[in-house]
Amino acid sequence: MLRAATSILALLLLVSGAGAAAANELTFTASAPRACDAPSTLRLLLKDLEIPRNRAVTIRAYAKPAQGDESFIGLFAVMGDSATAPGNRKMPEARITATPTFRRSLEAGSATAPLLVILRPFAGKAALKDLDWSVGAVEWACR
Amino acid sequence: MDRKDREESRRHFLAAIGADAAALLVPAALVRPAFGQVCAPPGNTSNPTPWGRDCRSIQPRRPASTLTGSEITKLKAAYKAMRDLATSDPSDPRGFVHQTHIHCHNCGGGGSSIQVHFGDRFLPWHRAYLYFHERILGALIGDMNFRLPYWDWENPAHRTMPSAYTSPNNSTNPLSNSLRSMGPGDTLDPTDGQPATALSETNFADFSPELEGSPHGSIHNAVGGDMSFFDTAAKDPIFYAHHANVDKLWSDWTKADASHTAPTTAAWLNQTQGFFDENKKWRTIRNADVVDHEAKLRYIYAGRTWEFVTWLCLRDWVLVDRLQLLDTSRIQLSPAGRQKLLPLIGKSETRLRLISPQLPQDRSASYFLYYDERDAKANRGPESSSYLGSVSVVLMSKDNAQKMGQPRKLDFDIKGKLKGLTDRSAEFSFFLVEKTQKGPNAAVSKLPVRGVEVLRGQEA
Repeated sequence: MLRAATSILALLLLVSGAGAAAANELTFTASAPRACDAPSTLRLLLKDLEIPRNRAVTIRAYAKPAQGDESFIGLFAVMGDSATAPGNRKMPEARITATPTFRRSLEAGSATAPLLVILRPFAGKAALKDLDWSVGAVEWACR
Repeated sequence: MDRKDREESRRHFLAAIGADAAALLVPAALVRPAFGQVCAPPGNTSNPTPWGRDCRSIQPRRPASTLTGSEITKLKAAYKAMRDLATSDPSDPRGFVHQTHIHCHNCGGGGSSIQVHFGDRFLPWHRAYLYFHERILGALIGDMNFRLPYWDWENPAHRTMPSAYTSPNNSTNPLSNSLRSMGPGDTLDPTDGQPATALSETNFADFSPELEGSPHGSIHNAVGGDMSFFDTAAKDPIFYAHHANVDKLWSDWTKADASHTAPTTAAWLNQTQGFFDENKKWRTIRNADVVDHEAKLRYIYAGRTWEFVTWLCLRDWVLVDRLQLLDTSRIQLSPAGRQKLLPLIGKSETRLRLISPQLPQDRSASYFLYYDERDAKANRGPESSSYLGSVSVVLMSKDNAQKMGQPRKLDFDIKGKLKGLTDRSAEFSFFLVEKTQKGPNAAVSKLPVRGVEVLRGQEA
């Protein structure tokens, strides 16, 4: 089974939300992912994602090395059930597939230092500053 | 794959795209209270008619941004008629409100336990939904060649909403929606409409959820308003152009590689979806029926993968009667056979099939075929009531040393000629006349056959 063959590369810990409250982003410290063997796909797995059922959310993920610029990893989007739906949607795992551009940057570089993974919630271009949401942890995985 | 593997695969499939763990174990209706609108289909849906065949001509769905002025007018007229129907007859399942409820009801809305997202029904269900929606729109404007447009948001030049849906941006435009977050002229974030990662997947179980999350979900969220929620998304007409593009990407992915196939399990292929058609008839359609949208649903996608393909209609032909052969050139319609044919007059597609006709092979020539000798001698072609059609013989070589084989059968459309045929009480023959022969005394020859059948087209 393809899914059963998924290999977890690194478990990342939630370490920081400080200074990010204004943008309502979640920040994780991560080891640098290694490039997956072609044609495998590099994925960022969001563990225990929880978002309100009455909100449509697009989560954009970025990677930021200690010294260097942010780069876009990919995104995950889910519609809301209804504007009046109560409660939260709890997802054991949501996956973000790394864009070809991000994968190429990994293949070209040799960075091994930890980096930040930043998750930002949007609806289209609009940042969702008031969204009450959480992610338990993130992991890199190759399929 | 054994049962355990299948369940494991399904569990991973659902988990990967974010379905609730609870939803895997118990019906959603038991774990969630009803919310939002009541959106169950109207009337009795317990006795469905299976979808049959579609024999319309194949027409392209085209990018919404490339529609001509008259095509936009037609698109707006179709949605206006659908909206008007919702007002004039709220119980009509073809009205716009009921059309939007179809999506709501199949997405857990109003307490429904059905959810076509987050699983392997996502693509086939939406394809079937758009198909019946499109047929209804076409019927409402009297044009069954009408096809939905698609919003090709992955095209950098088309990141604004197609102007037909925003101009004018008020209630006088049946394609507008006042609740959108995305205004006229606003552009999508380039990352919202990127299908590259989905298209790079190599199997359906990965491709479908990847496409569903993004760009499908991210475009819904970017448009905002009704489009943001499962229960209201279809209230925005851009929904159908958006999903036509999602459907096109499935089509593109399928064409990109021979290994890119839909699931082949009987369970998936036989899974059925229910919709009202343009005649208000409740239809069920299987996943297997929607996989080949070109041959079966009669549309293709214009644009990057444009291919103009002419397909033969895949209608089934059912034997109605075998005519009596007195000898190879003398045919008679029996009284019982006549009784079988009479109900078909003016109603059904009908064919006359000649089994193993013995065509002349002495030279290359084109012939007209009649079933009345006097008409044959007059040789007025299609103007004659007993004219059946034409047939050509082309020899293998000029010296005719190598004889060509005879055809096993020849079929002729006799829909408009059935009454003339049933009126004949006496025996008759088939007569060949060279096209170049002039009446009123053209040279005719009888065409021997080994059987004659009348067939009717199986209605879709």
